Amino acid sequence: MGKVNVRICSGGRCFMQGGSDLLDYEEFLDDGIARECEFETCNCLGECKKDALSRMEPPIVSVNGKLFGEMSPQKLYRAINDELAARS
Amino acid sequence: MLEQNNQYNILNRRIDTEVIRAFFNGTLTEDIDKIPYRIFPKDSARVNKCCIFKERAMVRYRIMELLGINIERYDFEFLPIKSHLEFVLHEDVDDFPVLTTVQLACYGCPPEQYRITDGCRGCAARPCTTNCPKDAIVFINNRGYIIEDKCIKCGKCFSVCPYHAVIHLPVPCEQACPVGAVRKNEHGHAEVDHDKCISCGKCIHSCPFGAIAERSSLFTILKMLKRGEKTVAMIAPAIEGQFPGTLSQIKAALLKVGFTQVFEVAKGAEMTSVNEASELDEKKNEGLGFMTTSCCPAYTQLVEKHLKFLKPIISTALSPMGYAARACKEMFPDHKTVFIGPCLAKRVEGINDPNVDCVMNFNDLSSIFMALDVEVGEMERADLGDSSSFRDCRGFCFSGGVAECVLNRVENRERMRIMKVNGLDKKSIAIMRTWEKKPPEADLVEVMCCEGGCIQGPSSITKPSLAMKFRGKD
Repeated sequence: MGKVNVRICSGGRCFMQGGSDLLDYEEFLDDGIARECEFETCNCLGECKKDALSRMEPPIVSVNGKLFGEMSPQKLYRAINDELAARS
Repeated sequence: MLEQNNQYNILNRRIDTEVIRAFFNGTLTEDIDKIPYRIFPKDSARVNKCCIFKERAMVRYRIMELLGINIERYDFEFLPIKSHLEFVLHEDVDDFPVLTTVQLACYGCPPEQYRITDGCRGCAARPCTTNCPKDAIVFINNRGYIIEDKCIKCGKCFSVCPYHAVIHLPVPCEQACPVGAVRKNEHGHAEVDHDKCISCGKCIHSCPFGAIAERSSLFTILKMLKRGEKTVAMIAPAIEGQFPGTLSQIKAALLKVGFTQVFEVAKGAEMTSVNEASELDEKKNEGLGFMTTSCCPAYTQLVEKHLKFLKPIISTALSPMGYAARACKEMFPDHKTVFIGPCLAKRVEGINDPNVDCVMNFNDLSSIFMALDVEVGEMERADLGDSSSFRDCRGFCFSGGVAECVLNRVENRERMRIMKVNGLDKKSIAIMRTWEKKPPEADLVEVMCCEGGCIQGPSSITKPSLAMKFRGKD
């Protein structure tokens, strides 16, 4: 079974608008869940710089390719759990 | 204390970014009164307050804080923000007080109280009554009540109730202020007594409504950058880890936004430690008692205003910013000096120091980076120069780091006794008060106003645990 791929944007806006807390994932995720994921940080995905209608608000995280805006530790935990549930 | 990246701070950075972007595009004068509507358009789903109109009014006040307006004095509701802006664009505002309160935002929390909720079961043991030192608890219909007039808010009932039926309703700003400078005015709104205030910034980060704020001096700096003036950015040691990149990338990003030179304040910290070390050796050799560090400006204001007997005990060394600014004025005489740090009290120190032209905090800098789309993590590394002599001084931003740097420079470190005051609050200040009669058993006392050190300063962006991962990567 493949791991859940979590890409946390560490572009300027994401990092400074709360994304820095997400990079600290070891603090708020269970070891068991964190082990099932592979974490990456990435440069700006460009989603926050689109025009007003299609723009996503930072911080942005991609979980198995699905993009989430305004990510919080709680939302990240839920998104990973959903992926784990869909996998089994 | 609220966490750094709460909803309110994130919204503020969004507003700041909009304002700064419009400023650099040259459209701010016509756009500034539209920004509240852009942040909260009519179909906005983000309204947290009672209504969208109050949200917009708060955006207006946020912009005024950013412009550096003294809102208590100049809150003319009938004026558009534009007329405030025209004044600020015309003149540089940087004066006292550095804090301002927004009456409209203040909830007017009722006075601090303990209250027994309906979780009370009227038990037989009644530990609340037994432990109350003032007989302030009565039972009516088998349920406890606290008589307000008698209660001294000691909290004993709160901690002994087995059902957790007693709740504590604090006033966050009053509770956070270590020197009792925040009080209610006759309308029940928070007011800062500037004669007592030591500018630690703890009230700003305790109020969940954002009623107390810093009057930014950002516009003075923005104008310099836009005019292309020669400016030197003096970066505090705490900056490393606050932005998604290494120290050399942060330097490169600063050069990109328009600063012409970047100077590490850690170099000034080296001077501070050298001077403090020689002073400490002298005091120890002559048996003159203990000495405290001088680098924390909130602490020096505390001594100035509340603990005058410590005045001769503080080291006479300048703060790292003081030495750095002096060096910058010598090296780059035609440059304006801008200190960039996490600290509010440094604003006060900066206004009083003729070598420091401006002080900016990390929140302001992050908004500039966002407004100009500067990606710190994608910058080419800039050359930091030779930093071998002051590398350890980059640790000045940690509790214990200053003492360590001083110890590295004394004659004999083994004989020095060190004491750390890690965070100023009501309790630690009460202990410091006793030093007048009974000096502490130490030779060097390091005082940090913020718990953990400057790395947890009032305008830091990242948590220290994460900042550590980004530090020392050059």
